[in-house]
Amino acid sequence: MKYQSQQVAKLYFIAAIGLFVGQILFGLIIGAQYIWGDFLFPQLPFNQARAVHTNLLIVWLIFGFMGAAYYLVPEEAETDLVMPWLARLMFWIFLAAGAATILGYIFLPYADLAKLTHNELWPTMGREFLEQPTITKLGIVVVALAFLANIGLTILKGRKTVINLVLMMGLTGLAVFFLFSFFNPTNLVWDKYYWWWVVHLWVEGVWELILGSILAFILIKTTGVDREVIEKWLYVIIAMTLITGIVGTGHHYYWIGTPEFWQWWGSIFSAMEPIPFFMMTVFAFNMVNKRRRNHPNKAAVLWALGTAVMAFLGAGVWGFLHTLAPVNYYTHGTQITAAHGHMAFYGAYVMINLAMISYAMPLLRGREAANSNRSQVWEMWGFWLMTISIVFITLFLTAAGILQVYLQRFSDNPMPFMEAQSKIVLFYDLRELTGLVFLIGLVVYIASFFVGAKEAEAKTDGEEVVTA
Amino acid sequence: MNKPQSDKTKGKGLAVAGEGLFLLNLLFPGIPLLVLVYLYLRHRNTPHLIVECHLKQPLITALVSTALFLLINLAAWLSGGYSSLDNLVSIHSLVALEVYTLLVLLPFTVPGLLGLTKAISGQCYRYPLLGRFL
Repeated sequence: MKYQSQQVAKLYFIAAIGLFVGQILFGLIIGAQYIWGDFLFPQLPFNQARAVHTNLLIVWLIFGFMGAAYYLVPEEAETDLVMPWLARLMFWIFLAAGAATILGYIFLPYADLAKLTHNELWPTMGREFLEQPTITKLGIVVVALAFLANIGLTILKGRKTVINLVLMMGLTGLAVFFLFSFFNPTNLVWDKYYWWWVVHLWVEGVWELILGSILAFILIKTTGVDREVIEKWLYVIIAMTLITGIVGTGHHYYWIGTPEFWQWWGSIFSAMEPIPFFMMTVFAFNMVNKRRRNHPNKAAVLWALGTAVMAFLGAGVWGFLHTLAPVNYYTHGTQITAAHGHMAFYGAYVMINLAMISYAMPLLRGREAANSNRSQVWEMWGFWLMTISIVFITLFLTAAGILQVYLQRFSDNPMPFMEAQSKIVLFYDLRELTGLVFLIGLVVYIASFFVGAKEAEAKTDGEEVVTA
Repeated sequence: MNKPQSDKTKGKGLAVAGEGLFLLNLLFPGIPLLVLVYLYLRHRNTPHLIVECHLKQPLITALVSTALFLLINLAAWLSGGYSSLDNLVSIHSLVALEVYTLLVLLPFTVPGLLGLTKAISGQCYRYPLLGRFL
């Protein structure tokens, strides 16, 4: 660690992992509710537990991105963070607001939460992923503005690199597109249209810039490949991301009441969306193949390569599977969407956060470059358990989705939704079991922070330890 | 002095082309395979391990993936799809597309991708399963 102010990242990383655990526990609860419909009812209805699962995901990923930025930006800019105190203050505000909102979801009926937070004054609640009370949304904006000011001023003060600028673009985009969550028109078509500006333009737009820049940073640090080479790749990847991702929003506009041309535009551009992910995989493996040194933090390299492959499979291949309008006519809103969502989020955003944490945490905890060998072995076990689990979760959900499409939308006597659900419950059983394996993987991953903590750090065979 | 270097560059270029055409053939089966066949026939005697690794292997694997593509579509046709021009986008062709994506595109793309990255780095790479038989 080169700058003392980078230390604030540690707080964000710890919170991110804590919230990740919560997300997985609630995932298991709603997974069980798919099997036993009245599980924990009426104390924790499905809609509330699902909101907690998805909101925790978003919040912990943002905590992770913020931690990554607080670690990465000073190092790239070659200067301390301008206001580390503000980063600490915002951390506690964000954590308190997030925790209060989650507790509100858990302990109050959603309508009561809306009443309590005076949603009627500026109604923004009630939409998937954007369930947060308006007051929480305003809090998020304040935190985001403070965060961007902190990061932006640090970049202005120091060295401007492509990685910093791409990351800044991504984080600014994240904040700007969140503003559309405040726009809640009564016209349902308009509502959905702009709702996707938050949801789609985040995950298939600006978040990919954040992903690309963090991946580039880790690869520069762990492979020693020239910055110029990595930056050229990054330029092309972000260009392709924006070219395909922005108009690709059209794949959400097929059936919501928008003009029919979106079926063409959405199909063509979103069919090209796997390209940047494909390039990211080629990029990551190419850089590792060309590496000038063997970094002792093998776990971080594994996460970096893993994110490239899994993002391509989850976001790219599984996205393509149901993105063409004629296919999507049958598949939209089925378990095929859930399959895509699980693998894409894990591959692209969970793994890049864990890659950054894996790279930075040893340094933030006073190591020269990497954890001990034993700690890394545990971490890699966590990697494989979680990654293989998510592959199987995706496969089971895909099978469930295919059967659901057939029973509910295609067969000569289409079944009602709940009847079709009862026919695919076997896949939900399998998904739940695999989810438990995922939880074990997560526990092993967390244990890796404590196992071998006092042992000497790993060295590369026959080489000196490469300092970060 | 320069000859070995230019041979190496040429070998690398061929290797990248071979893996690239293999991947392209997964998306648009047919023409990239023909180009791959042409490249292989033209360079099959080139004494580079990298050409053997990144031209012959993708060619044979592309033949397998194209055969699977034809088989899947043949099944769609036999079960009533593609009966007329109006029927090109039907449940049969859509199921064929899904089956092809899940069972062929997915398992063939990942080795192709790894092969491409190795080709760019000038290294040899054996595909899992199929590569062991070649």
